[in-house]
Amino acid sequence: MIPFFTSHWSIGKSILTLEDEKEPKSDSPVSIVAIAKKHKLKELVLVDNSFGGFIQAYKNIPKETNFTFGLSVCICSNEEDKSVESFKFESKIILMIKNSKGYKDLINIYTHAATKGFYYIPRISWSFLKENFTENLLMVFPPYDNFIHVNHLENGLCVPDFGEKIKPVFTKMNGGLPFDTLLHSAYSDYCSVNKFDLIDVHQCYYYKKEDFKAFQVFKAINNRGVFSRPNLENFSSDKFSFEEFLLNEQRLTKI
Amino acid sequence: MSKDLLRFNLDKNKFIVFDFETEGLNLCYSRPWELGFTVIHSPTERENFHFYLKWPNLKVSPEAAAVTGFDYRKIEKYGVEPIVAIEAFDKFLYDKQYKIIAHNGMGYDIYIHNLSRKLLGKESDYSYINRFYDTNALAKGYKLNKDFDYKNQNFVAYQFSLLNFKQKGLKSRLSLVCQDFQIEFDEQNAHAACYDVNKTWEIFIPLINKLSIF
Repeated sequence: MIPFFTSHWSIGKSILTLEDEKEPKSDSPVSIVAIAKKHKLKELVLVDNSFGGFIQAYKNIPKETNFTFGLSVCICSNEEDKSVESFKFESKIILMIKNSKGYKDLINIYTHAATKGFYYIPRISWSFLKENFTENLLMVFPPYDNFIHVNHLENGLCVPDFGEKIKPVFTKMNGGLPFDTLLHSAYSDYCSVNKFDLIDVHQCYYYKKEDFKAFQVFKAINNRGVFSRPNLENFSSDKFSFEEFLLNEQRLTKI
Repeated sequence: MSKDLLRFNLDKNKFIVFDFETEGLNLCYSRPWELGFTVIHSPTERENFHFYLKWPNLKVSPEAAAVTGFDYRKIEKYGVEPIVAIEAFDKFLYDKQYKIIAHNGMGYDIYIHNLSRKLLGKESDYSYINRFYDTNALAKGYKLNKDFDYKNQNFVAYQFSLLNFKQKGLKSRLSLVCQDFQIEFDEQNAHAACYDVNKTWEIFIPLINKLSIF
C-alpha cells in the first residue's frame, strides 16, 4: 500500500504543509516533510492539484526519501465546451512525473489546463492528453473521483479515451465509505478486462485521526457550513490520515 | 422477470424500516438521541421498537429541538444505554433475511448508525448496503422518470446516483412524497422517529409499484 499525500497547496483539500520541519508538531499544522523525517519514509508520493508546492517539496523533502510528484487534474471530453452541461463529462486523473523531463512535460500540460482548458478549474481533454502524454509521465486513476466513480455514483457520462500509448494504473482505497465495495468491484472488472494494474493506496489529508475534527471544520468553512451542519455530502470517514495508513500496514503485516 | 419484482413479492419478504433523530447534521459527530424502527416479519406480524439513546452530554440546539421534539426530560426518564438500542437494531440490520428501508437513509442514517457503532467501540460495517432501499432516492427516480435499469445497473449505484442528482425544484422530502401519493401527513408529528418510520413504509409501497424494484 502506498500513501498518497496531498498538501495545503491543493487549496481546501488538506491541512498538511510542506514546511521544512524536523518533527510533526501538536500545536500547529503538520508538515509532510516532518512526517517523512519522523517515520523515515523511503518513498513519498505527493499528489496536488497545482504546482504551487512542488519547489518547496523538492527542496525540503529529505534526500533519503524518493520523492514522486503527481498532478491531480480534471479531464473532460471537450475543453471547448464551457457550459454547466460539461460537468457531466468531467472526472479526475493523476499525472506522475517519472524524471526531470517529465517535469517539463507536465508543466506544459498544466499550463494548457490552467489557460485554454480552464472552466472553473484547470482541465484538459482526453484528446489533448493523448497528443501531449510522454514516456516521462505515468497516468494514474485516483481511488475516488475517477470516471468509474463519477459514472456510477455521480450521474457522470465520462468516456475515457487515452489511446494505445498510455498504460494507466488504477488505484483503490478502503476509505471506510459505504460505496467502497461497489467501486472496488467495478475497478477490478475494468482492470481485469483491460489488463491494467490495480494497486492499493492511502490518501492522506491530515496526520493523525485526532486531526480529523480540524480538517472537517476547515472543509466546512470552505463550504460555507458550520460544525453542526458542515454541508459536506458523504463526508463520514476519518480514515484519511497517515496514522490510519500505518495501522493498515500493521494489520497487513500481521496477516 | 416481472413476476420477480418486489411489488409482487411483498408477502414473501421481511423488512426493517427505521429512522434516527440526531443532535445535528454532522455525519461524524451528531449523535442520535432517538431511534425508531419497525420490523415487518410478515404481512400480519410487525414489531415496533422505539428508543431514546442516553449519550452523555447531548447537545441539541433550540432550533433543532423545536423541529424534532427533543426534550431532555424524556431522555432522562426513558433513555437507555445506546448499546442497548444499537444492538437491538443491529440484530435485524445484519440479518440477511431483512430488506432495509429508510428515507434518505443512504444519505444520512447509515452514517449516523456507523457513528454510533464507532462510539460503542464497534467496527464500521456497511455490509447490509445491498439490501437497502432509500425512499428518498426512489422518490427522485419516480419524479425524474428514471427507472432502475436492472440489466445494466447496480441497485446501490442507482440509488446513490439519484441521491447525488441535484435539480432546481426537485423536492423529495417525506411530507411532499406523502402528498404526491395522497397519504396523510401531519407536520406536527414530523421528525418524530416512529411517525416518520410509518410514513416511510406507506410511501414505499406506491414507489415500488411505480419503479422496477426487486
